[in-house]
Amino acid sequence: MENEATVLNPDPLVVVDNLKKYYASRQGNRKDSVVKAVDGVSFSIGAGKTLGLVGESGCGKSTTGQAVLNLDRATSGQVFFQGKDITQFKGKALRYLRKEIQIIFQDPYSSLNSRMRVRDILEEPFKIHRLYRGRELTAEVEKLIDMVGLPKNALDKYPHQFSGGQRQRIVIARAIALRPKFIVCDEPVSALDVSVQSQIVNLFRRLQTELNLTYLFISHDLSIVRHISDQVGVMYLGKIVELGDKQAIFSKPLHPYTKALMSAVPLPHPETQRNREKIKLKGDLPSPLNPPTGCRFHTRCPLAQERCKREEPAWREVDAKHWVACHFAEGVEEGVQ
Amino acid sequence: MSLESTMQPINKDDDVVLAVKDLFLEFDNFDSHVTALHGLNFTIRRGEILGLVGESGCGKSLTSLSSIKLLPKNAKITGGEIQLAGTSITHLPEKAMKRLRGNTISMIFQEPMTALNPLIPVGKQIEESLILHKKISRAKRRQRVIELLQSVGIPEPEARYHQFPYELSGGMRQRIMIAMALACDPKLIIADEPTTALDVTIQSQILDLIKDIRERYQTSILIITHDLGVVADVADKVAVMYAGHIVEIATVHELYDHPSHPYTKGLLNSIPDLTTDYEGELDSIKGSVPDLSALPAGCPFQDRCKNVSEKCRVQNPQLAPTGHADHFVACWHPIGDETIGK
Ligand SMILES: Nc1ncnc2c1ncn2[C@@H]1O[C@H](COP(=O)(O)OP(=O)(O)OP(=O)(O)O)[C@@H](O)[C@H]1O
Ligand SMILES: Nc1ncnc2c1ncn2[C@@H]1O[C@H](COP(=O)(O)OP(=O)(O)OP(=O)(O)O)[C@@H](O)[C@H]1O
Ligand code: SF4
Ligand SMILES: [Mg+2]
Ligand SMILES: [Mg+2]
Repeated sequence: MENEATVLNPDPLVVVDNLKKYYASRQGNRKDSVVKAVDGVSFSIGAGKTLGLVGESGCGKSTTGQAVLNLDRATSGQVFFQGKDITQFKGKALRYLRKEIQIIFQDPYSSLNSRMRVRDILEEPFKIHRLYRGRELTAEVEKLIDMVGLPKNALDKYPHQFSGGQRQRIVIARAIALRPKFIVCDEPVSALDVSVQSQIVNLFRRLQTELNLTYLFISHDLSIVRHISDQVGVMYLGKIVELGDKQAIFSKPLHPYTKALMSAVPLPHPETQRNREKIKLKGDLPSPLNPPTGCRFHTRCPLAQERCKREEPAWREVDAKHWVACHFAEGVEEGVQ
Repeated sequence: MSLESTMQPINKDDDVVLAVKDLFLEFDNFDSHVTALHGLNFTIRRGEILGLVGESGCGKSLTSLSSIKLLPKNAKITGGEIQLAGTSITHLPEKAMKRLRGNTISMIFQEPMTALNPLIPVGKQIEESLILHKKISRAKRRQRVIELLQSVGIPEPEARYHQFPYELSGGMRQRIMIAMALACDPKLIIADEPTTALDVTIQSQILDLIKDIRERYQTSILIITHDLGVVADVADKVAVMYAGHIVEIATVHELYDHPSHPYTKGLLNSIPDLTTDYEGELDSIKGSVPDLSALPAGCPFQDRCKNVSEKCRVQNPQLAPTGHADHFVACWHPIGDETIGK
């Protein structure tokens, strides 16, 4: 379970080592075509820390999250939780894992059963794991709803009686019910109104401190990721192309894709936005069915040379604790301005 | 008070492409009447880009659909007026509206896949609106379509002409939509969340294209979005909507530098800054967006507002000048000048 990424976190809670997840193609007729949704991803997350995972649609963020949870068997690779390889877990061990690891999805509408009252939704995990009963259970559920900032009377309502932000609070309450150590958050604020997003981001951070939670925080919103993460991984077509502490990633990005991604985010201030230097990427994301040879980014990369088409760049520690896969990473400078 | 008189002091008619005046819209369901738009006022001039921002359900799409009169069956304009290039279209019959749509005024939607016909090659679809609105020969039409594809940055336009929507990426499809919108040299393009479904790297290409179109053709553009970054990038003027009201309208620099409505200010403050590491709590607006069918009397923002007073609970503030040029706000206690409206 040693990999470069463990250096970032000497005492990691989660270590992912060369994780791969391949799917048979959805675009039916071509038989043996394979989508390499996640193609050799490695990282670690320290206890109580947050790793932000960013990248454009289809780059494999959700697939990584699912595979880390062992919800869906990985094609290959290992995931260590508290030092144990959970990809091999079965039966009782797997049940234990379901208590320790949780996931929160983007859509608070579909993740709650509309026919259950909030009280029943929050009692369910305790019942499944036979943890509390009677008055103790009631007290525990009331404590939960309070922890996510909702009033007690919310317990007797149904999900549809709440706004999107409130529903996401309920989802969060359910996720923390069994006091997990690790939560995969897959775009947990993306479906919310802008005026509500920051409330929920604040809630995630507060709970992290109170409960010493560890997060894998998946998002395409770079400003939220910068705010919430300790470390950041940038994905492109199934691979992590850059990984490091968030200060390093944002103030000194080493991969041209990271830099382009940052400069494509429009800043909410006209003067700054119009005058900043922008890197424009040519063309579209290539098909994951048929990723480019060599460096997968070469078809859009402003720095690409002949070598990039032929040779896949090595995963290198270019600065201390700052990894990147690019032949010309030394030519990339400056973060977001 | 007449907003029109304050906003358009000189050169009143010629340059105004779209004028929306005191527009009210209601939904008429079996059991309820819901007022969805509460007296909207704004204008767009020739070559101007107006950004309309607001959160989900505040009435942005209804505003744009009103402007081309493509409203749902149960929706009715119950007050006010819409003028397109100086002519009122409020009571224009559908037949006449059909001549305007895709011609003088055209529209770009968020999801090009649903707006495009999946069974017809994209080039043909662009040609359709030329057939409908322009009397030109077949060869000329073909040539015009190729030009349009080129002008929206589609490589190998001759080959793309024959492709079907599913063969193109999301960004390419949005370019096709834009080419369709441009086909008949419209005076006004309405773009409803044109980049929301796209990745940021593609979004930035499409926003550049939109700015470029304005430069080249002096087209007026109404762009609808919930992203304050998008507005900061493209718009000249911004209207902020909240629960069916325009609560603030100003030039883009003025709005971001001196937000006047507590809602605008709250929104801007709640976005984490991409350019710095900030460890503290984010500012946020308490509560959530109200249901249009259960708006309180008085100001629609009162339950979430830091500046709320008794007056706000009784009287709904109307858009009024802030004292800065071209800047209007609907608030009894705006930021920076708590005396306005008293
Ligand atoms: N069950 C599946 N079968 C086939 N292909 C799949 C499956 N799930 C995901 N994929 C493919 O794997 C790739 C990665 O998908 P994934 O959902 O992980 O991306 P993502 O980064 O989460 O994207 P988004 O930002 O859109 O959520 C995509 O090309 C997707 O089409
Ligand atoms: N056909 C309809 N019948 C009744 N109410 C409707 C109908 N269509 C829209 N509404 C209501 O009108 C309000 C405004 O809707 P609109 O689509 O204009 O919002 P929007 O600002 O475009 O939101 P979004 O950002 O989600 O697209 C919403 O609250 C919606 O519930
Ligand atoms: S009118 Fe009153 S409640 Fe409404 S925004 Fe202004 S201060 Fe707040
Ligand atoms: Mg995903
Ligand atoms: Mg809309």
